[in-house]
This record gives sequence, C-alpha cells and structure tokens, in this order.
Amino acid sequence: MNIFKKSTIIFITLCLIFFCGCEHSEPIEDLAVIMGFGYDIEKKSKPKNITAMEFITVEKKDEASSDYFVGKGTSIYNAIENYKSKQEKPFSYGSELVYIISEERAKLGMEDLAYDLLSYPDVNINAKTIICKGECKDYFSLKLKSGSASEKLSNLIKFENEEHFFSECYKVNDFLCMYYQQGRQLYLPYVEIIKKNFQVTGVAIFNNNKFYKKIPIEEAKLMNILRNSGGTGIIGIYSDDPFKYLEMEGESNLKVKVSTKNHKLNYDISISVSGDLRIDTLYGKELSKKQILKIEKKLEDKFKKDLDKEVKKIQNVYGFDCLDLSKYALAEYGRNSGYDSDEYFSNAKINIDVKVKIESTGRTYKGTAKN
Amino acid sequence: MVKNKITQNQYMFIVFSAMIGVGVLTMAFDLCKSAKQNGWIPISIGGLYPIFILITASIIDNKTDHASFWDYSNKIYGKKLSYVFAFIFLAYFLTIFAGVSAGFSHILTLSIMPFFKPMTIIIPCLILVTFISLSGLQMVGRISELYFYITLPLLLVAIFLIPTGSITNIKPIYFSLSEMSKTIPSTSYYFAGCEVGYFIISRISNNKNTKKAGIIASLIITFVYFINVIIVIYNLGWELTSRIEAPLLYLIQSIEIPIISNFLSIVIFFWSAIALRLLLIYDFISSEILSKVIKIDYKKANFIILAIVCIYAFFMTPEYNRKMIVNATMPYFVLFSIIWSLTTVILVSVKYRSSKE
Repeated sequence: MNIFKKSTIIFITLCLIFFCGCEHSEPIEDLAVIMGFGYDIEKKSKPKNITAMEFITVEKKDEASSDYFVGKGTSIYNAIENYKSKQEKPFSYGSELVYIISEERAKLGMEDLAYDLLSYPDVNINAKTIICKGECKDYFSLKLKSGSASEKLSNLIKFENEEHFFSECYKVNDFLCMYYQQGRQLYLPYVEIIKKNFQVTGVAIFNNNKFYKKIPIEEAKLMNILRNSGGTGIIGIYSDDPFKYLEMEGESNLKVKVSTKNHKLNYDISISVSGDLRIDTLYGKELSKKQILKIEKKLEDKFKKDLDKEVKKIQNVYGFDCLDLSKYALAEYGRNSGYDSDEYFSNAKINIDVKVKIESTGRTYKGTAKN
Repeated sequence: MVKNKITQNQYMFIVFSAMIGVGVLTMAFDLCKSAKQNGWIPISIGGLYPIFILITASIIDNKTDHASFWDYSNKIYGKKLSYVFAFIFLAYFLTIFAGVSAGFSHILTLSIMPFFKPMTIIIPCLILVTFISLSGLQMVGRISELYFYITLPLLLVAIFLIPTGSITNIKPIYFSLSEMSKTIPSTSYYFAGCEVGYFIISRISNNKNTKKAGIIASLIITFVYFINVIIVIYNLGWELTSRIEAPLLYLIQSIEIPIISNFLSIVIFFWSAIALRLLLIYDFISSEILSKVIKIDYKKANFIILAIVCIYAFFMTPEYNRKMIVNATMPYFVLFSIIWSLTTVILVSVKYRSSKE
C-alpha cells in the first residue's frame, strides 16, 4: 500500500504541473485582448452583419495602445471569422468594456445578438451596452487625446447616473434582463460623436425589442425619472430673465402601485426628489422654513405638470409601454393576466404624485438678491 | 477517541455535505422551468424529505440499540433481501457519485477550464478522493467538519446580491399543485444522498441526540438552497433564470469587487472543495457497502469503486447525458428509500420489541 500512496502523491503533483493549462497558451503581450465590440449591419440588397472590434496592442515597450479591425459576413460568427483572417494574433474575450450596437442594427432586430451575449460563456456581463448613431467603426477609429475609445465610452456610461436621472443599469446583464423579462422593454443610452468627442445625446427606446425612436435628452430626463430610481439630476423653475431662476439637485425615488377599475389599469406613481437647493435668485428671500415649503410646492407643481404632459405623450403618441410599468401589473395580477399588452397601457389611468424635499440650502441662509 | 468512530457534530456535517454538491449552482434553472417565479416554494417543501429520512434513521438506531446496518437488516429481511437492498443503495450512491463528478467537470469546463476534456478533470479528482478515502471514516468526518466552516461563507455569497434585485421578479406568490408537482423529479436530486445517515449513524460515539443533529443538518441545507434560489430569481426573473444553465455562476460573475479582476475563478476554486468533499463521502460509503456485499477488504473495494465510477462517469460526460440518466433514475431511488425506511421502522419496532421481552 505504501507504493500506492507514494505513486498517488507523485501522480497528483504531476497533474498539478502538467494540467495547469499553460500548454498552448501565449503570453498576454501577444494576445489581442478585446476591449470593445461593435454590432453593425450593412443595408444593401441583403443585410450583412458587420462586427468591429477594438483590441489592445503593445507596440512600444511598456506602452499599450489600441487598434481595431472590421469583419464582414452573413452572420455574427461569419463576420468574426472574417475578422480573424485579418488579425494575426489569437484573441481573447473576458475583459470587454463596452458593446456598441448601431442604430441600423437595432432597427432590424437583435434576436441573434441577445442569444450570443447570453450563451457565450466568456462574455463579460459587466460590460456596458450602448446604442450609437452611424457606424460602429467610426467610434473605434476616433483619435482621442489619451486612452482608448472603449475605455472612454465605458466610463461615460458608468458615471451617467450622476446627471439627467439616468440609472446605472446599462450593463450586458441588465440588457439581457430587459430583453427577456416579461413586461419590460429595452431602454439604452444613445451616444453620438459631436466635435470629435463622445456624448450621450438621449436614450433609445424599443418596441418589442426593435429600435423605435431616439428621445432627446430633455425629454429623456423626464422618462428616466418615471422609469427608474436612484439617479441624480437637476430640476428647476426658470423665468424670462436669464439670471433669475431656481434650481435644485436631487436624487429621485420611484414607487408604483397598481389597481384595476372597470377592466382598466390604474397606476399610482409616487416620485420623490430629495436633495440640495443650488440657486435661488428667483425669490431672493430669507430661506426660512416657510419659504422653503413654498419653494418645494412650486417645484412640485411645475414638475408634476411636465411629467403629466410626458405621460400623455407616451400613451397617445408612442402607444407602448417604454416606462416598464407593465411589470408592476404582471407582478400584481399574475404572468398570464395579459396586462402587459399595449392596449391596456394606452388606456390605463396614470396618476402621478410628486414630492420634492429640500434637505440643505448649501452655505447660504439668506437669499443672494441685493435688496 | 476510538478510530472508526465519529462525533455527533461530524455526523451532522457528513450528512449536510452528502447533499450539497454542484446542484446549488444549477438548481434555479430546473425549478424555474416549471414553477416559474415561485421556484423557491418547492425547494422549501422539499426540505421535509431529509428531515423524514434522518428522523427514521435515528429511530431505527435507537430501537435497535445502535446495531449496524448489516445486523438489523439481516435480522429483519434475511440475508438474500438485505443483499438486494444493499445493491440498490450501492447503485443509488454510485449514480450520485458519478453524476456529481461529471457535473463538477462540466461546471469547471464551463467557467474556468474551457481547455480541458471532462475525463482529464474527473480521473485526477477520483484518484485523489480514493487516496483520502483509504484513511477511513474518521478522516471523512474531520474533513467534512473543517470544510463546513471554510465553505459556509461561500454558500451565502448570494447575500451580496440582495440590493440589486427587484421585488417584481418574485411576485405574484401563489401555490399551484400541478406546477409544483412537475418539479418533483428535479428537486429529488438536490436532497438525495441524506441516506448515508443509515450507514454511519451506528458509529457515533455520543449517540444521545442524533435526531436533533439530523434536523439541524436538514434545516441548514434547506436554508442554503432557499436563499440561493430566491436571490437568483429576485435578481434575474424567472424568464432569464430558465434560460441559463448555471444561474448562480452567472450571477456571481456580475459581482464586481475592486482589485479582484475575476471573482468567479476564486469562487470556483473554493467550490471545488465542496465538490471534492461530497465525492469523498460517496467514495467511502460505496466502497464500504461493496466490501460488505462481496466480502473483500475495504481497501481493495476502494479500487474497484474507482474503476466502476470512472466508467460510469464516462457515460455521463456530456451534460445532456447526465441530465437524462439522473432524471430517469433519481425519482425511483428516492421513492425506494422512502418505502424502505417506512417499512424498516415498522418492522424494527415489531421485531426488536419482542426480542427484548
């Protein structure tokens, strides 16, 4: 038995050495580590898939830069094969930062794309997903002052929740959740190149997983508040005088309650925005409790008006649920109740209740007006 | 302490470890397919099965005055029938043994070792397990106890994910018998294996509160399963859960921790300890049964089991093969063990009462 014990120990140690997987591996400097992945389509007689990929290259010593190639083919993996025939290095997945989907691609449908993201085990599900205007390769070919395009795009989306009430959920994981879950629609940030720089110019809304429309940023702000909680942004009251206005920066919070009446859905949305008062040159009075309550009331009224208008527009003009309200109805009345149809949504009664709370007035106590 | 004996705590941990394997990573997938967003209800009800089995084991042990499995089985059923039952139990444990080793290799190839063929992972694992199993029951107990404390944080790693989910994913909660009954074939696999209690309960040195130890082990495992399933559904919704083969692995990937670039590989590294611990227990139990059935030395039986399981696991290697074999056989094994335990409790209380008087 001693021989068995000895030989087992030797065998297991040899396994550890030989089976560690270094056999056919390359050092990381020789790999093309994919950073950004673009899904695009060519619309001619027959739609043609295009994938653009950005990867890290190490050309000079200790200095990493990035490069990109474009592959074309009839399907996604055909296009990747075409890409590989241009690429001299073996490539590796797992540390992608961003997935770009072009507007044209999103319009035609994304069934194969979602399947690819779901099933390929090496996809980094924490990478960000965005919709872009124009071709994907323009984004990777843009010459930036420093860093790679993917890194910049990824950071742009990562800190997006600090303005315009965007949420922080635009990862691949959230993309798949929005795509597959019942009663939800896709809703992704829309990026354009403006003056050789990336900029979030709105959101892309989807109907039945197909690109429907780009919403400009001012309208997107209201949609964001109605759709998700946890984002910060600025709301205010403005007058004709460009120097007299009232602004506050706050964090939004959303709660939805559903009820039915006469076979019609009834959504009670309560939104609360709590934050700091930034500028108050409109009234310029001492910020006592009475005055703050007055400001809160004014903000609530103004804000409620905007939101009501927006909801009317969504129900009547767009006519489908891009606010993800159906998921609350399904959670209340069961998955087979059929309350997630467009008809129910556009006939639903939506009551909005807004609460604004000013937590701090900053360093000032008295208003800044001179009188 | 006498060699070949275990403490009551070690018994608890062995039974606990015998149930938990790779099933936790994949269970939400099976449950959500038929029970949809209420997949956590059948797994909570399923916890009654190990409680039932372990209580009967404890009753039998107390009634027979701590006789071993072979003693009371021979006395009740006679020699021929007890051989048959032992063979069925052996087939049962071997199925779990081979199934877990194949499933473990599948999880490894899926997550961190895509460059390996399944058998390249299975054979070194089995040799390592056989090597440890030669040391006997005491070592099995010690390893189970030590690993329980090391791996408990890992089983509760899902708690990190509570803030990111949405309550709409698990509502509405309702109980429908037809949907729940569809999950029985797959849930039976997750609690299967608590029957090892029948074979080791007579070896406990301080056998006063074996009932309590069994119930605690069952409650811990039900809690672990419950928390993992409900958090997966809470985060992904049943639509996405029922599309991913290993939903918990997928969710662990979404945890972002600064400094650590790949949290998944760390989790899998420690997870291997759980899988190896389970393989060790089944190796020990099945080689012991085999050595009794065909009357050979325990150490020789170990090598025979190694050969059998290597072949058995080979037939289970692609994941769909494993699913087919396990789903086809496991409900019958579970049914058998329920019937066996009920009849044994009744017969034991009849026969042993008369012998005492």
